Amino acid sequence: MSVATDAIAVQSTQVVAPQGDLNVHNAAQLYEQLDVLAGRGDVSAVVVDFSQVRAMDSSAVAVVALAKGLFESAGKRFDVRSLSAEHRQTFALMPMRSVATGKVEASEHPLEWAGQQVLASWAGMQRFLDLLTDTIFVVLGMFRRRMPPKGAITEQAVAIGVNALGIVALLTFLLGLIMAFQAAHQLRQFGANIFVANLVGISMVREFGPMMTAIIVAGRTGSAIAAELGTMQVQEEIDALRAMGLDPNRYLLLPRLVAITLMQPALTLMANAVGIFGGFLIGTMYLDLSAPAYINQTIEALSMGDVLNGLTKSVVFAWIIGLVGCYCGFNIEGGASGVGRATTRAVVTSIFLIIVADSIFTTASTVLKMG
Amino acid sequence: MVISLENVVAGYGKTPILRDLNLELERGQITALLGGSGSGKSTLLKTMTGLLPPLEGTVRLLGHEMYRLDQAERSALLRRTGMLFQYGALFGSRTVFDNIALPLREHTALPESVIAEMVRMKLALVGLEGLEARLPSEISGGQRKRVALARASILDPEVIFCDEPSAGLDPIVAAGLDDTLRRFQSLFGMSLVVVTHELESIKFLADRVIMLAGNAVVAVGTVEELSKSAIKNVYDFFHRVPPDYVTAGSSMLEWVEKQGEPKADG
Ligand SMILES: Nc1ncnc2c1ncn2[C@@H]1O[C@H](COP(=O)(O)OP(=O)(O)O)[C@@H](O)[C@H]1O
Ligand SMILES: [Mg+2]
Repeated sequence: MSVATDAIAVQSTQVVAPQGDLNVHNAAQLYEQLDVLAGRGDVSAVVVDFSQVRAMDSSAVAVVALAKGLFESAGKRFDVRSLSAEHRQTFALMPMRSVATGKVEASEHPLEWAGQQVLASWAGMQRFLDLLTDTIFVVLGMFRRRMPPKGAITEQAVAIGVNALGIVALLTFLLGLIMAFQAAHQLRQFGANIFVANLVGISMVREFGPMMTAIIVAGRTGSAIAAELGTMQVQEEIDALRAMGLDPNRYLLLPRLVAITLMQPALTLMANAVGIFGGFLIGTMYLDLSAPAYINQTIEALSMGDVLNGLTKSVVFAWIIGLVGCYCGFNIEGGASGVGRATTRAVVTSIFLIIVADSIFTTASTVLKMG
Repeated sequence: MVISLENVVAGYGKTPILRDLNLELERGQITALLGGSGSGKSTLLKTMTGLLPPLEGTVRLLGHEMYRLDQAERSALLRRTGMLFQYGALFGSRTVFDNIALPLREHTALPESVIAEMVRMKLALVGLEGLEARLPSEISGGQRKRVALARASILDPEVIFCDEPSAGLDPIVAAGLDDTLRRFQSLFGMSLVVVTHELESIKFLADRVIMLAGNAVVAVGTVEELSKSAIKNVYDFFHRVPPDYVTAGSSMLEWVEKQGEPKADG
């Protein structure tokens, strides 16, 4: 059912005569042929002859409409002829294109695009600041006994904290193992095996415990918050809350924020302990350190300040994850398909902000110590 | 007056959808909002219920300038209204019972036993007794709408807004829902604002009809008045004139025919 055509030269007028059925399977061939003719300098007019066309469908009409645009914008004549009654009916169903040119819409100037991006991110920033001020108000509201609904905090705490215990423990345990292994190779050369305890202890408590936990929670909980709130937004559940006179921030954001603020430091403490335990296993089994020696060395290496430093960071990370998750969920764009995008955005943004915040912390505390 | 709109422009962000809205809805009446899909019915409803601040003008709900109130005052005002969303908007993670009980639990200090009884009564009123423990995903679309109506009416509001209550329901269920709405109005003296496409529903329900088209209100009146109207959009709706998108512009055929066959043959 191919489009066999004769292109007969009548001075500079070309006649194109497709044969057989003209439909979605072969309309592209006709379009290509017409496209080539439209571009040829020696052709000033084209006629499409339908006398040998049996059945045609809307793709054929579309090709004719497009070709008409092409030829007109090239300043050439374009005609069709010998349409049967059935062909006419198909043409009658299809509205004419309002713009006669082949192009759909003038494409945007790059500067225009850049300007819109800047405006969009500015608007996004404003919305985020709005959310931040609202958050401060609902948190302050708690002191005026405007509590989140009963049971909501516990429910969230279980989802955010308890259910994450396993994965956080496993990953930070492995992290402790890896760190100890890496350190062991180096320290052994100097006979400084025992300092594995210092290295694992301090890096775990100050950096990797808080950071690793935050990254896992961002992946698990940040995405879940964005997906859940995004779905609620799409299904008008958040509007439904408002219509009932309930504040979505108090009802949805507050329990999540409170729960994550409580759970994140707890998870981090556990991560620290498990990571140190990983190091301990390597130290005692692979480096032949005695258990009491390793434990003593760890206790001596760590100060309360290190632990508090790590925990403070974990609270900041918790707020980043919670707020970014809520923001992405509340400000979802594009209906159901937007939920997936919001989820990804929540994870990527919060991990990015966590690492930025962490480097600010580390730089600041190093500078403070030196000064 | 339940609701009054003065020179309101309704829309999203900076995009106006409806202009020059001047409307007054009376107490105890059922008002139908009519208009093609995309004509701004949901937008108008959201503007009336405090969900979408107008770009211009004043909206009064039960005598209060709703968008000027602070959050606590607005919340108190909204307790006197109920909203049935187009797709129900039930909370997916809560059971039917918890969905309907939510406004009671949040806004009243009633004991659970009273709450349970009230929920049961409202469920019976919409013909859904016994579904209390189901999740919204475990009931049909029509049942979800009715649960949403039970939730919207649980605080016995003075006015209920309904966005396409009977869309997508089979005729029997739709008629049942209309009947429930009528009863709310006649038994409790509620005012209702109902978005609907169903001519049957409108004839059965509406005391007054507001018709939207082309970014504005094109007609306001009783069903009888509007069915005699000569305004094109109104006439077309009441007489079921199908729109002709193709002849409204021009079809490819016109161009094809203008070409004149004889010349092309030469
Ligand atoms: N959240 C939104 N943001 C921007 N435009 C919207 C939004 N929701 C709806 N619109 C637009 O407003 C117009 C009216 O929509 P809507 O009120 O939902 O119509 P209806 O309920 O009458 O079908 C439509 O053109 C729609 O594209
Ligand atoms: Mg709608």
